[in-house]
Amino acid sequence: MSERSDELRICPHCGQENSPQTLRCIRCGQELEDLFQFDGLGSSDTQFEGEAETPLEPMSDLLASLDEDPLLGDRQDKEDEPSGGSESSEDEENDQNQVGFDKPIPDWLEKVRQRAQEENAGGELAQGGQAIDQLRSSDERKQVDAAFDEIMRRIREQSEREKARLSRRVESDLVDENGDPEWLRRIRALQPRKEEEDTKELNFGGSSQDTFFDDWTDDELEELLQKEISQYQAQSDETTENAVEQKETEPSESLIVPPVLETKEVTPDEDEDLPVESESLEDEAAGLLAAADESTPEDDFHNIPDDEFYEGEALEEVEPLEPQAFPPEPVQEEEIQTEDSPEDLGEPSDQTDSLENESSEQELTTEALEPEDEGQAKEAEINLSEVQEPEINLAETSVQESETESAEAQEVEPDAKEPEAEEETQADESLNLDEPVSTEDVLPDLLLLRDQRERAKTLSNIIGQEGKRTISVLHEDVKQNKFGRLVLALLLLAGIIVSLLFGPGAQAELPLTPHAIAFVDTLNTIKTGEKVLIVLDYQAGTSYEIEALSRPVLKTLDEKGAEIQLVTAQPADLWLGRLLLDAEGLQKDLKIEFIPGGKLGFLSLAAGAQPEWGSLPLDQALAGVGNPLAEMDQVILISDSAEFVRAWLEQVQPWNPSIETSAISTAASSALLLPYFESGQLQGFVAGIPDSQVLSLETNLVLNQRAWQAGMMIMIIILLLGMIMKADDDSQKKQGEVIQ
Amino acid sequence: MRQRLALITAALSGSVVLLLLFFQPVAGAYLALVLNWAIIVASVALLVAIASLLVTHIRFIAVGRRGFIYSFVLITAFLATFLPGLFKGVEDPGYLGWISAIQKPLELSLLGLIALVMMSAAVKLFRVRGWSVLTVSFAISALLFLFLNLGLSDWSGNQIFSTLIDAFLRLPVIGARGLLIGVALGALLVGFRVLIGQESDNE
Repeated sequence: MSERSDELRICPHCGQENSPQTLRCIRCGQELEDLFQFDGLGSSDTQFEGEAETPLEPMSDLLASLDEDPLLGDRQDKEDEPSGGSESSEDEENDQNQVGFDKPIPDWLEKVRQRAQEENAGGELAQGGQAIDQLRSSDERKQVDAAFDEIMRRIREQSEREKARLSRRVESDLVDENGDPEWLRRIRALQPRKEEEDTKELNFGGSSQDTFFDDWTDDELEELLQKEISQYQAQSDETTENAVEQKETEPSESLIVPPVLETKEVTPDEDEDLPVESESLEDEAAGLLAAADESTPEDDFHNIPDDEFYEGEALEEVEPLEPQAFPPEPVQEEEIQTEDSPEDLGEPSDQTDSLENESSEQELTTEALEPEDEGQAKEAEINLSEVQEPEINLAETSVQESETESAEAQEVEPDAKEPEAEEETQADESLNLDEPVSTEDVLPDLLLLRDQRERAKTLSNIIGQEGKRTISVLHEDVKQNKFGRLVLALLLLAGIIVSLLFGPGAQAELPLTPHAIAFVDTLNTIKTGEKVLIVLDYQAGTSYEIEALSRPVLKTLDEKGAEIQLVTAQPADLWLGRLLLDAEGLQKDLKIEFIPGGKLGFLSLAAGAQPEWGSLPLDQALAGVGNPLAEMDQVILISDSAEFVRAWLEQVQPWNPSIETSAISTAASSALLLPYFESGQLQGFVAGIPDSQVLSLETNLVLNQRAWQAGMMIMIIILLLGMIMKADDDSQKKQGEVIQ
Repeated sequence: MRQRLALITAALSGSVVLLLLFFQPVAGAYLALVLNWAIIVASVALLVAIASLLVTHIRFIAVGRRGFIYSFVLITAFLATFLPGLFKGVEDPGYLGWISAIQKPLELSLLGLIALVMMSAAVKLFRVRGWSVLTVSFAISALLFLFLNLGLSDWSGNQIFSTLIDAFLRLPVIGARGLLIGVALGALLVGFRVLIGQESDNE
């Protein structure tokens, strides 16, 4: 027991008993060396660093380890058996105390113990136990917190991993079931036809091309082409200079390798083949580019939909395949290459690669020379990219594959294909002559899209319409032929004037109308002393017609001794009525009263009553005569307006139904007054010259009957003339139709 | 609000006048009062219209607007009519003869122009409208009444012709009755709309 207790070491953090050889606690991993380090410097940093480097565990394992954590188990045990724990600690302390008795105690230790016993002999064991308990409780908390932090850190890291996986999935989802990436599908949506054709050509190249176009966009391909061309130009310049310097010493190293072959791993054995290869490839590349340049007239390699273009016009700017960027200075290269020709080197067997490349490029070139539709530039670019593909394939494939390909390439006769390609090129050029002008013939700045062109057209139309009238005038002055109207006027005037000047006026034989007869009857019923109200309401223009009928009536009334009162609501009738009275020499003392307010004034006189609290303005205006409508026996309306007569009969006359009303009016108003006559509201009326006979008037005194008849005859003739002219026009149209 | 106020005023005025007319024996004095108000307002409005006309034409003359000579004639004629009437009185024979000598020829000329326009319209009627029921019926009726009013023959001796002519002369009554009925219905509807506030100046 003593030996055992002597061998054990108690961890200062968790209180775990450890063997004396262990450097770390078996429970918490704390270094046990710290027991003897009084400075308090811990090695916890190294401990956590080592833990951080440990691989992360899954969550399930983590939780399982948490459940099996002995710390938690000890705590539970302690909670279940609180008293037992203290006893065990006391036993351990006793054991530790017993250790010193078994071994020889040094002098310094014995002195220390003696002094401790002297100072605190009673609480020695208790203090040690309490210190161990405190140390344990604090260490347990720290370890639990550390374990919890570690779990949380692992959870976070795991969530971040999940997020990263999801993002990768999303990116991978951009590729559809056919393996087409998102950009390719967009291009297909823009140009479905071209995409099909392009797909065919790509399939022609093999499986490696699929991966090639899956990874490279068109823009990237274009950039790559430009980059390669520029690099090739720069390198060709450099290599040309170097070759001139080194051709005598190292002819094989001065070979000019075109950029399309740079990626090929050239072995020293193959160096001798490269001159021929480079020459052929340069020629092919030049022809390819020439074909591409010739094929650009229908170039529409663009990402803009076709509906944005005018048909027959290349409106999209295409990055031109600049010929100056292609293998230049063939003279120098030919000089070098002829000197370094494989024949001089005496290794004809190595021409297989060059032949293979040449033959494959021949095929591609012929394809490039057969653009059927608008995608020539794109096809040319794709073909150029296909030219680059053999280098990739050559770099990836083995030597045997290159040999088999070269054997296949030997079967192809390049010499026989070149004329065909030239013929096809010429044919294409002849076809292109009928096509619209190439975009390269026009400056790029002058190329317009359809939208731009329409806007420009609209703007030009607006500018052209500036200052012009855009809204039609409702009543536009149209030049009319006034000659006919002048002839009519002269004819009318001549007929009337002639009838007035020549010969006596004939007696009119006009029929008697019932309303005129009724008017005369009503006039005849007037007795002496009866009050007759005469209302004047006519204008100067109709005064001749009205006054011709009014004079005999006034004369009759004067002869019968009727009491006449004249009123008017028209200012003009003040002097017209006076002239009428003066001309007939009627009652000189008659006054014409003005009724202010027109119809409203008559209505007020008829329907209104004198207020008890004072007088009205109208009463003051008629202060001399009083209400003219009061105590009247008859009313004679002298008016050229059927409207006035109607208003009187409908609004004034009903308030005095006992008063008989008759009217003198113009012939034009006759038709509108007839209903009131037939209804009995009007006792009778005379209208115009036709009714003058009933008044026993000689018509010659009223008007010249011949002039009247002449005017009527001219109107009849003109009306008939209009009908005849219309009939003549219709007959002429019919004859014209028959002739046609 | 302004338009609504006018509508309310019109509706109230119409309603008041209508009620006063219905109860005229009792409310005759009030009816005369309201009508006198209306006469005064209408007279003042007429004066305002005359003043506006004069000011407008004076402005035309001041700015030298194109055709300002007609404005000058109008102002001169107004002053020549207004000032003598103001100083001599409207019953002065000289003043009456002066006004009549100007006004009668003017109005008669206007009537002559109307006759000329009607003749021209009669000529163009068939060319523009063509042969239709309306044009043919108009032409027949016009020719009939023009011929009857010529006075070339006396149809009273023949009973048949006399009866026939009387029947023709009554034909205008038919059209006049229809016209008057339409006018009456229109006036009734407009008055009713004013009373209920549905009629406005904008409509």
